Formats: sequence, structure tokens, C-alpha cells
Amino acid sequence: MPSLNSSLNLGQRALSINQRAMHTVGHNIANQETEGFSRQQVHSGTSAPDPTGVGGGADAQPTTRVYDKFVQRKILQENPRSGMFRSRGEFLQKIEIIFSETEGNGLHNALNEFWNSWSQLSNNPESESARIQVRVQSDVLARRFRGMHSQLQGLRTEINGRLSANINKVNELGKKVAELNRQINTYEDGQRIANDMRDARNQAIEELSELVDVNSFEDPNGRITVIIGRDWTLAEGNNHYHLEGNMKGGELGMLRVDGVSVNDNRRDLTRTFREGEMSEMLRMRDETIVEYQHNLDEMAFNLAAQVNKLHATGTGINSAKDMMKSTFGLNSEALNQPLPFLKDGIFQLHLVDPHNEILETYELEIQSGVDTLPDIVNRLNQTVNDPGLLQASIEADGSMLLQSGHDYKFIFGEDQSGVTQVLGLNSFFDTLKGAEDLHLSQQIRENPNNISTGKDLIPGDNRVALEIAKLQTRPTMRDETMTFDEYYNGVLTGMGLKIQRNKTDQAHQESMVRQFKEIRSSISAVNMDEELTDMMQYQKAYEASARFINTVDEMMETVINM
Amino acid sequence: MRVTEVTKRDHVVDNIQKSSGQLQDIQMQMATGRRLNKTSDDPIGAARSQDIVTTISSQKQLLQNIVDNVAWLQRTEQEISHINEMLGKIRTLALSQAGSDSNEESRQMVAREFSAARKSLFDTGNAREGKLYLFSGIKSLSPALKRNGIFQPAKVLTEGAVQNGTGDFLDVSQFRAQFEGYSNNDYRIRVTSGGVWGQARVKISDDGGRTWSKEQILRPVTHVFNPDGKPNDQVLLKFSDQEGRLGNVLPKQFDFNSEASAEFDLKALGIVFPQGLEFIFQPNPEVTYNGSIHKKEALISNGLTIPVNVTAQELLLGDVENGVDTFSLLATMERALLENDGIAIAQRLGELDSAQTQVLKQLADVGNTIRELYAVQSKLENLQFEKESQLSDIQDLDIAEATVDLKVAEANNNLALNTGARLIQPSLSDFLR
Repeated sequence: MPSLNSSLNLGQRALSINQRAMHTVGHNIANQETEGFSRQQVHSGTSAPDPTGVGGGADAQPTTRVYDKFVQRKILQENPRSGMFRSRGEFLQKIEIIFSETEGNGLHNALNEFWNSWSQLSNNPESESARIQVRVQSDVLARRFRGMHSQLQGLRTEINGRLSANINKVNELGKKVAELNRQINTYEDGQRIANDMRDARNQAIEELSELVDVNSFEDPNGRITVIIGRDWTLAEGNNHYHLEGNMKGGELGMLRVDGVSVNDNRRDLTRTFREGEMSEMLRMRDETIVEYQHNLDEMAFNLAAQVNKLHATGTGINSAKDMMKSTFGLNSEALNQPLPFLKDGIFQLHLVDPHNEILETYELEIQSGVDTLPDIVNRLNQTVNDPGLLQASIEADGSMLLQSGHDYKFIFGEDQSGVTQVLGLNSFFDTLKGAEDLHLSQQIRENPNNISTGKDLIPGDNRVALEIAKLQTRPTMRDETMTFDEYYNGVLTGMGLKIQRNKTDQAHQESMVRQFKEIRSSISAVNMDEELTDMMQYQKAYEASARFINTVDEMMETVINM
Repeated sequence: MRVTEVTKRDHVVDNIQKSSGQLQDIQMQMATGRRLNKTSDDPIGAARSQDIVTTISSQKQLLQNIVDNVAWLQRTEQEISHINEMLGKIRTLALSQAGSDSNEESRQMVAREFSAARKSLFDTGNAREGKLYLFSGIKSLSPALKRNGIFQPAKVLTEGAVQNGTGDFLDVSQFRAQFEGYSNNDYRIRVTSGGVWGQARVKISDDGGRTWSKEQILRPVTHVFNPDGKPNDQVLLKFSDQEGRLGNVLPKQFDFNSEASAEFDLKALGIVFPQGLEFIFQPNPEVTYNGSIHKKEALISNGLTIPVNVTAQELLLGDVENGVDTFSLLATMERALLENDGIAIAQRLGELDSAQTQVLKQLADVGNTIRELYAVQSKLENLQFEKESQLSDIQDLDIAEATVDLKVAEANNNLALNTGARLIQPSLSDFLR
């Protein structure tokens, strides 16, 4: 039979258990808005009964949190895709703004004006103002190509900067996980559970999962190993292995993501991220945007090539030259190799007198894959056979120089070989890289009369201008299957569809993650009404325990006064 | 499922977000009046609308081109009608002088009118619109017609010449052979029997050596007759020394017809024309075409072009095979008038008709081109309207529909706010003392 003293003890234990429970209710209410917090529960068990079977009251058990690790796992799995779609949507929208046509100042509009100006010039080849119009519209078009290309490049640089911030964030989170691993390991001794620290660690990993794809598992000591990307261990036990943005070794000015392990060993991880914001940033920076830049380059290149091809063998008003230097030069090695991109065929030069009458026609038979620039220069000089009339030479910078004698000038005739295009003679546009450096050629900028509209210096000849105006409706892109407009429309439509698809994907993914989070909330989050009910219950229990002690005290008094 | 504070809050926020997002989309559309504001709003529609914008823009340019070209062609038409009227007047005059009713005096008068008409025709052929010559083809900055010089040096061909013992080969440097006059014919004069002037005999061909006339004597001034006896072109072959004096080459007293000349030392005269020598005349009409045979082509729809020039060649000079050189014709007729030759005039009336037909054909062509341009213009204008309404269908907002949508979205938004406010307020704590 238990003594009164032990009953007093029992009452005291009941008081402290209820107080602890009350404390936990307070803790839950206080943390109801804390990110990642799981509500905690106090558990009590009955104390061992005495030999006669009378119960010994209640004992406190470790406080636990209400938490479902399978739901958490699911969230960690889906979160990276969510981050990926969100990031993709954000950047695609920025790209869309760059390609935007709605204000009437997009590339499309510039192209339309460009073709229209040629159409107008073909109608008035003698008109100075129509020539100036072509020059202005062509300049606007070239500017727009360059502008869009550099805006896309700017977006790449911006992503680069954000990437660097993301790397810092990943490192911070990795460090936090390792630190919490250490603390949890010290705190937990088989009895105690580090509820709040575990919540904080989960929260850190969840934040990480928006940036990169994460794999994690817990070791027997309660420490979590975090693996990001394909196989990089970010945190293991008490250690973490950070990432580093490296400027060297990759494309100029573009960060490479390195993982740094023990002994300062580095490994390039740039291509190992599959999902999450970071992977999408890298993909945007190195693939998606670059592809749009290539699309612009392809257009700009082809535009320059098609226009130049027609332009080179044409003439403007008094556009015969007594000297011309090719735009492109060859280095000493290339000088001794056959000129690339040539075709078999003839290449003609006409010598004209000061009255623009053709005096002589020099014709060279060009062989592709055989003729080098010096070959062509020598053969031309042999054909002309009089340096006083016309002379070709190679400049120090590897470009070709044509010079006619006093009182003579020259123009280009038929060119089946493409020599004019390969070297950049009498060109309209100049470009080496495509959209990035598309410019009007020097001679067009200097004098709009140099714009070729016809042939053989006939001022009212509109044949060349007409052919250039007709390029608008001629399929010249992609193996001559699409017009410039169709190609560009294709790029725009592709981009629009990509944005739309991403919107759908993102909405779907986010609703999925939201549902899992809802499930988690319904399990782990705090309900005020519940807590208030608990609070009242514990209050009543505390009151009852106090009454019990009081009663036992009275009983003891009764015994003493007996 | 257990409801918690967090899920309650998330739900409310989520629903309000959704409904105000909808509201914002509609508001954006209403503000711009366009359904399509970004490519991603409707990628396929955006591509179609870009396509239509391009079509509208290039059609606008084509319409402008057409207006320019119609103005040009109307000016051309005017000038051609003027030429036609002129030729009609000339024909009436010629007809009145063709018979035997007319006298020499009136023919002289008419000849003067012919001369004025020729000049006027020449000027009309060189008519300009602004700084551009109407009838020069693509050589629009050069006059269409050019008057040729009346003199041209004869080309002397020595390849066929044979030495027959009468003397040395002709020394070309000793004298100058020159043609005078206008003709379209390829005259060749060939020495058939060698000798000095008055002795050497020549044959004349008017077709570059295919057919030849009878022999005639070579003189210091030789009339190059048309072998077929057609009215000739009055082309002369003249010889002179290097100073251009004719008399120096031949003694003044020399007379081919007198017996005394037979005793002359022919070799002392210096110049012996060997047999087989040829003098070649370059066809040299009074007026030649100076423009380009290429015509300016104008874009009238995507990739299609139409010629908008009439060249003075086809209008007044005719092509080589058939057609009439109006200037030569008038010159010949003028000469006939001056010579009081009514029959020759009558013979040329048929050619005058052809010259007029030649002009009328061009007039009809220009009319057709103008009509075609008008047809294209009205077609383009219709298309333009059609395309604009298509564009509007794709990118513009249906205001009535949008207003209804706006009302619905507004109601949804209110509802979300309302229920949210009610859901989130009550708590057990409100009911505890």
C-alpha cells in the first residue's frame, strides 16, 4: 500500500507534467507561422504500479513532433522541377520582351521597312531620296539585329550574376545542414529529440531543393547526407563541400560551377544539375538564349549574303571605283590555301572610261578548291596585262586591293564564282559573326549613290534593286524552304509556344507541390482551436492535480492530529 | 483532413491571387483594346498577325509604286498621242501632195512643214518627266534619240585587192575616203576593175555584199545608188587629200570624157585603185536610238513585274527586221517634195501608214498597262481592307465579350475576398471568456 508521501510525490509529478504540456502548447502557438515548424506533442506514460497493483501516477516521456517523412520526401522530389519551371518562365518572359513587336519597333517591322525601301528604290532608281531611304532603313535593320543580339547577351550576363548569388546560397544552406548535423548529434543522446533543430534542417534542405535537385538520407547518428546534382556531396556528417563559381576555363565571362572537395580538389559540375533553378539558369545561359542568338545570326548572315550577292555585281550612280579594298583579309596561312566557299565559274571586271562607258571586260575562270588569292591576283594582272589600266595586289593585312590607272575606273561584271562575296568586294552589308556585327559597308555609309540598283552603270537600271526587293518573297532560309519572314515567324511562334507550355507545366507542377505541402500542413501545422482546447484541458488537469495535492495535505494533517 | 492555420491561410491567399490574376489579364486587354499583347498570348495567332502586318505593309508600298507608275505611264500616253496626231497630220499633207493636182510651190511649202514635223518628233522622242527621259528604257538619264553626223570616214578594206601590174598598191595614207549622207543600208563599194578615177570601175551593194549593182565608173564624188532603183538615200562617196581639198588630187583640166585624157600618164596621177578594193559604209540613219533596249520593270505584286517603259526605238525607229524608221521616211519624203516628185510621195504613203500603226500599237500597249495597273490597284485595295479586318479579328478585343468577362472576374474576386474574410476570422478564442 503506497504511503501518503508517495501520493504527494505523484501529485507533484502530475503538476509538472501538465505544466510541461502547457509549455508545449505555448511553444506551438508561438510558432504557428514559423516556416518548417512541426507541431510538438507531450507524451506521458503511467508510472510503474506497486506490488499490490496500485498505479504510480504518470511519468513524462520525450516530446515529439508530428511529422511525416514520406510527404517531406515527396516535396523534396517535386520542388526542383517547380523551381526549374518558375525560373524558365521568368527568363522566357524576358526573352519575349526582347523579341516584342507590339510597339512596332521590333525586327519584323524593321524588315518590312527594309524591303519596302528597296521596292521603292526599284521604282525610282535615279532618286537620291529613295537611296537615302534604303540606307536609313538598312541601318535601322542592322542596328536592330545588333541590339537584339546584345540584349540577349545582356540577359546571359544577368543570369551569370544571379548564378553567382545562387552558388552562395547553396553553400550557405550546405553549411547550415552540416552545422545542424553536428548540433543534433550532440544534443540527442537516445532520450532527447532535437525537434526544432530537425525542423530547421528539413527547412534548409527544402530551400536547397528549389535551387538544385537534392538527394538526402539520414545516417544512424541522425546526421543527414545531402547530395546535389548528379553526384556531388554537399554535406556529409559534420562536413560540407562547397561550390565555387570559376571564371576560367569556360566561355569568356561565363561562370563555371566547380565543386571543391577535401585537399582543394576541384571538379566541374556545370552540366551535372538536372532540375532546380540553377540547372535552368545554366540551360538558359548556355543553350536557350544562345540558340535564339544563333537564329538571329543565321538570319543576319543569310540576309547579308543574299543582298551582297546581288549587290556586288551591280552598279549605282557613278559608282565605278578607281580603287577598292576587300573587306575581308586573309592571314598568311590562309593566303596559301585555296579560297574557301568559291564555286567554279567566271569572274568579270569591266574597265570604264570617265564617261561610264565600258572599255574592256576582263574575265577570269575560277576553279573552286584550287585557286588561292595570289593565284587570282596574278591571273587578273596577266589578263589585264597593263598595270596602267588596272592592277590587283595583296595588302599587308591580307586583303585584296584593286586599283585602276589614271582616267580609268572599274566595276564588277558577272560573278558566278562568288569571289566578290568571299572577299567582301562592293558589298552592301558587312558581317563576320552575324547579327552581332551586322553593319552597312563603308562605301554605302559614305555615299548612297554606291547602292547598286542596276548593272553596267546605267543610271535608270532597276534590275538589281528589283531582285533585292524580290528577296522578301523568295525562300532563301533553311535550304531555300522559307522566306526571311516565315523563318522569323517560326522563331517567334516557337518561343510563344514554349512560354505557353511552360506556363501549363509550371501551373501543374506548382499545384502538385502545393498539394503535398497541404498534406504536410494538415499533418504538421498548428491549429489554434486544437491548441486552445488542449490548453483548457491541461489547465483543468493542472487545477485537479493541485486539488489532489491539497487533499493529500489535508489527509496528512488529519493523520498528524489524530 | 485536418485543417490548420497555415492551410486556411494558403487557401484564402491562393484563391484571391487566382481571381485577381484573371481580373488583371482582362484589365490589360481592355486597356490596350487588344486580345494579343504578347507573343505567348497566342503564338499561332501572333505569327499569323505578323504575316498579315507584313502583307499590309508591302502592299502599301506596292500601291505607292503603282500610283507612281500610273503617273509615268499617263505622261507616256500623252506624248505618244501627240506623236500619233502629228503623224496623222503629216499623212493628210502627204496625201494632198501625192497626186498630180499639186504644184511645185505648194510642195515646197509642205516640205517646210515636214522639216518642222521632223524636228518636233525628235523633241517629243526626247521628252522628259522631271529629269527622266520617257523613252530611253532604263538609260533614263540619257536622251532617247541622237542625231548622227552627216559625214563618216569610209572603212577601206584592202584584203581582197589584187595587184594587176598597173601600179603599186593603193597607199591609203595619200588620200581620205569619206561618205556623206544618211542611210540604213549596209553599202559596200567594190572596185571591179582597177585604175585611176574615171578608169576604175565599181559595183555597189546595199546589203553588205550579197547582191551587187551594175558596174559604174569611180569618180572623186560618186553617188552611191541603190542598186534596185529604189529611191536612194543620197549617200556620196568622196575622196580628198589629207588637207581635205578635193581638187589637188586631180588636175583641174582633167576630163574623163575627152579623148585627150587617154594620153595622160595615169601613173603620174598617183592613185591607182586596185581591183578588189572595198569601201564600207556603216549604216548611219539621221537619228539613232541612244537609250537602252532594257525596259524598267515595276513590281506590281509579290514577285511579279510588269514593264512600264516604251522605248523610242519601238516607237519611232522600228526594230531591224520590220518596222519603219520614221525619221528616214520623213527625210526621204521631204526630199521628194523638194524635188516635186508626186509619185515618190505616193509610193511612200504605205510606209507612213506602217509608221503610224507602229505608234498606235505602243499607244494600245500603254493603255493596257495602265488598265492592268488600275486592276491590280483595286485588287490590292480590296485585299488591304480584307487583311486589316483579318488582323483585327486576330488581335483586337471583342469589347462586349470582354465586358462580360470583366463582370464575371469582378464577381469572382469579390466572392473570394468575401469568403476568405469570413473563413479566416473566427477562432475558438473568440468564444472563450
